[in-house]
Amino acid sequence: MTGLVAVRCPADAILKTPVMLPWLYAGPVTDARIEVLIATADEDDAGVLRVALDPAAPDGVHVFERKNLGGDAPAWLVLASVVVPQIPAILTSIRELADRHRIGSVKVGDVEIVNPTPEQVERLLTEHAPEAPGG
Amino acid sequence: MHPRRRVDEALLRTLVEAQIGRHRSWGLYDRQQSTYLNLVLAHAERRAGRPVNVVWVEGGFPEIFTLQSGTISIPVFSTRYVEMSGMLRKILSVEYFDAALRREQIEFAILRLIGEMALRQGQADLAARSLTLSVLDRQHWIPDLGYNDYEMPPYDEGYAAHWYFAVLHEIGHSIPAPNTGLLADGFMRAAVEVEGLDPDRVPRSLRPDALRTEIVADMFAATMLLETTMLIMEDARGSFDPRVFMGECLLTAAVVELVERCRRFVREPVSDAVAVGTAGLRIREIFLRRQIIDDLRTLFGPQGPPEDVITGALIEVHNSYVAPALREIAPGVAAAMRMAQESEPSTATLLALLRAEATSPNAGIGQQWELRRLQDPLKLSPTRNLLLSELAEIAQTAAPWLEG
Repeated sequence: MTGLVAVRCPADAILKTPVMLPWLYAGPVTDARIEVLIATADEDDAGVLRVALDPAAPDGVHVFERKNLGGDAPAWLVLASVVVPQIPAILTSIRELADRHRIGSVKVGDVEIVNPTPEQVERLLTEHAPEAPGG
Repeated sequence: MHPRRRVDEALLRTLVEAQIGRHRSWGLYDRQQSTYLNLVLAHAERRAGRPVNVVWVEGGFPEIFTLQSGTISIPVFSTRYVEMSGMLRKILSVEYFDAALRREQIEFAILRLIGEMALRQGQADLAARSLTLSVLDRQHWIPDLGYNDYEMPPYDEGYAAHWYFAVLHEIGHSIPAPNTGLLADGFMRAAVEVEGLDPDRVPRSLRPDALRTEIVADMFAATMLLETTMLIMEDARGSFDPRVFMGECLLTAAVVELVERCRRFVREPVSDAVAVGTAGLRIREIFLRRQIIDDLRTLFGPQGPPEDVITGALIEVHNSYVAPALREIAPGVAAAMRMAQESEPSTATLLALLRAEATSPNAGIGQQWELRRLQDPLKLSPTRNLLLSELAEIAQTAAPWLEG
């Protein structure tokens, strides 16, 4: 076959290239992870978050109850090491709960927001949005 | 629990630091050290039938809590809790103060506690006001000692109750709480009704399962405290006195109640919320007393005094030792909570007065010491406003020779 020239392409360059089949992948091919920790005052909300995080957390989702000495007002802490491309989907779930004032705090990597508003989660979502192809 | 779901060290770090702030010093308590805490942990471990790991926070905020997930239970123990509860114990102990001084001192202590808890919760205005009031216009000072000062002998009933009851309670969360006998749902609901509350319309903390969990943790703590106090006193060659033990247990319950009341006040300064929380602690104390009596009966054996004699002794200790102190501090606690909420004089005015006092040539050593002790919690605050910044600046004026 003419016109085809063999080229060598380093593996990291391939990984940095935007995917060619956007309908197949939600984001760049990467197995990088970020720790996500969400605090909520409601056990049911913690269950919802566990379900939302589970597909994105290869090592599982940990839900801890924080019990105070007085035994009242416990908090549920949902913790997982999440694959980076799934962060936007997770933040979308969090935004819905934040809209109903159900989130005590959210921490994504080093960024922590206490009593987050939907707008603050939206900004976090923008920061973690996948780059546009070719951008 | 599935092996892949084990919490690794990095995740544990994220979890703990999110709760205590990025604190300069914390870690899993070193179980190899030869300490009485390790004696207590080893004994609790044997009785609970599972390993115990305790997160030890150096300084921090005055709180003790447990992080629990399935079979994993991690008590988090702050030395600041030991310090603050030590101060409350001193104020409540009969031998130190007369009624007027006790009332005055509890007011300052409660303001300090509310202030530090408000810092933790990011409530900067409440923190600035309460902390300023806690060091302003004061004549008598009980030194806010470091936790090392509470490690001094005698290693007796009071020492053990002060240091270990709370951590044993937290370890008690790792043992099962069966819905049977005196702990059955019916009894839990009845106890709530006796408090004048409708068991179908109470917050989660007063529902049978939640109440039962706390009661079991208290019962476990009481039994472990009795056994480990005797072990410690045998090692320290002290002689165990059951009446002193009863008094120290009741005093500890009173201190827990005060600390938790402050925490609820900071979270939700509405009288209903405080009342509901107090009801829960009152119910727990009934079961705690029952457990103390049962444990002492077991200790004395069939030849020992009958149950009514032990019960009578406990009531007598309460009436002569704890109840009068609680009556005397009540107006001081109420005054502290009222002052923390008032709008006049403004916090800015109070800060101006404090600056004038603290920088005057006649500034008292007690105040200088307390201002010095304020520097650390102010540094840990997750939030800051102008009032807190002003307070931090005043705290920095405290005489540097007080350090260390």
